[in-house]
Amino acid sequence: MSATYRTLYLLASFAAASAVFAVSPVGVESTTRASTAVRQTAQTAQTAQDKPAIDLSKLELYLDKAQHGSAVIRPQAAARLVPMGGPAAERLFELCGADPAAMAEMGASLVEVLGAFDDPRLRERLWQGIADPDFPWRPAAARSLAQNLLQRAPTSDAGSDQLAAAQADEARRFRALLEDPIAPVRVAAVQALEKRFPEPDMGLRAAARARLADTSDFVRRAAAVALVGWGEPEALLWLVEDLRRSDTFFERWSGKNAAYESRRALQALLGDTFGYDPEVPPSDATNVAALAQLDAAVRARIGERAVPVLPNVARASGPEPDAVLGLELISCRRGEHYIAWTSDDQLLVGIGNPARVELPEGTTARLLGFAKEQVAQLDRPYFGLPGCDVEMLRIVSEPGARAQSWVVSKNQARIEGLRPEALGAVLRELIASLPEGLGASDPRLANLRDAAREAMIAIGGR
Amino acid sequence: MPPVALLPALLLILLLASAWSPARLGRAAMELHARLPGIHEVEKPRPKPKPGDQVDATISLLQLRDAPYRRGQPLAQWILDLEGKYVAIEGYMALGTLEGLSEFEFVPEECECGGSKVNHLVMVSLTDSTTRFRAGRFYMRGIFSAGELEEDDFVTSVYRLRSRAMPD
Repeated sequence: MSATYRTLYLLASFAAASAVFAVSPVGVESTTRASTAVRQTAQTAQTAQDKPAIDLSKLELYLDKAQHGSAVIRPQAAARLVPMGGPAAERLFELCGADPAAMAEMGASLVEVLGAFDDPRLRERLWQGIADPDFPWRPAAARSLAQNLLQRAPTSDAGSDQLAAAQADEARRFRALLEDPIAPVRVAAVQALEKRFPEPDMGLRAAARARLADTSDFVRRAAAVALVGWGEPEALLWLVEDLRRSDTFFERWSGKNAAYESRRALQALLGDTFGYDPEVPPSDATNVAALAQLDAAVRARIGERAVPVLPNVARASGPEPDAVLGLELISCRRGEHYIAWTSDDQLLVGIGNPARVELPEGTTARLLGFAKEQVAQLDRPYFGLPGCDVEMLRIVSEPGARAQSWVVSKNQARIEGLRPEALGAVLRELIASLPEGLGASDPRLANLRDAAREAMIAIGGR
Repeated sequence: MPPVALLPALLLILLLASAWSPARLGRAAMELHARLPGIHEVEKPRPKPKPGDQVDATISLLQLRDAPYRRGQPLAQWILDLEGKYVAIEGYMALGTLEGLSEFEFVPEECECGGSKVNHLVMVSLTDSTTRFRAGRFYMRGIFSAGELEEDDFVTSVYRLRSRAMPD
């Protein structure tokens, strides 16, 4: 559009200059000057278009908005820095400081765009952040690297061998992140490896298949998409299974959310989801018909290949009507834990199809009674600031009632006295009640008590 | 005709040429773009929802989040069809919403954890009351509008709901 306007402008200027010549007695010399002026205008415009000058005040404005703007403006402002190229990269490198603690101050939105500059120094800063378990923006750093794979050699005089060596080094680091304790980091690692290796070796295939039993449905989904792209259509079964989910974790739409995500993936991979609608239950007649067609389409893709058995963690389940007490711990440094207690003394761990542990009789009633007493002392349901560290206590006071929630949250910075004592007492009691020595049968149960305690301390202290 | 008689015409041509500079044309195009329905929203007075109004449609924030969105591109037709309708939307109040405000972000997940995409939320404005933090999922009812609303060239909302008050 702008080219059209520029042409119009030049034509109008040329017409004006011609008009000057036509009516002027000055003669040929003036004509030449006028034509030269028009040419110079065009050349100047062209040069300006080729190398737009960086408006430093804009650069600083975007940096400020990306750090201190509202939650919706921060990512937009950060994205506007990328077309500014070198000058923006220099300022960001300055802001990164010398260690991940300094880089943490930049905020997640700026960290997330660092990889887009293809600057080896910024990439190294991102890797340093990922290597530090206390760096709060590890998911943003991993996504930044994964979405912008290394294209440029570490130094300007490096040859193609050195670029290949640097790419191989990054691939090795991404492989290690497949086992990371934070699920969004594992998702980024899977997606980076999928993009980096159109034809993976057997080891990488095996590592991706192992992620089909990941405790996070986001990681399982990313692994399934990668494996289908690598010629293993049986991984489509994991995506179709998500469409059968109707689970919730108290007020959380876990099953419906998974259905939306997997429907989008299936649409891209199969080209059709046959009218499946995540807004209505999988048992609805429309969805039953859609699922039958999806099953047939996937079986046709699988053909003669072996049909795998889905692990328990990936199997669809429904809501847990007997869950009366719940604890969600979402730490940007120590991972996520979803734990529920049912009225018939079962401990449920995880989202979707949870791991189940029988508890001594009366455990839930005791914990629920204590929790009700404590929360009665609280004057409000929310404490803290919005951010990536969140604790939620859920209580269903009467059978059939909706859960009430008490929430503590904060951003990367520690806040003294964030969690009220009454809430702290409930959390400590709940975590202390978690059985030890579990985990042989399900990774969600491994070191559950210690892992939950670590997450609790990372969010709101002891 | 003496050359001096053509001077007013010449001046007019020069004036037009300078006035129609690319920057001015760009601005004119932006203004035109801003008037296109479903792309840029020019806020206008809307009817106020009344107690007992029957909703025209019920949607979840997951549906809105799932709809394709690209800045400056038209929104999905089913969303444009909700324009001006009395709609019930299910979602969560964004964590950290302060008490006593006249508007709040209504989001598809309790924990947006790290940042919000502008098309993942509905900006709710309350006409007869102010905010109080509410945990958990709930419905908001009100008059729906869609289209990019900008402030300093940043999109601040794509979906909006004008409501009387939060539900009890």
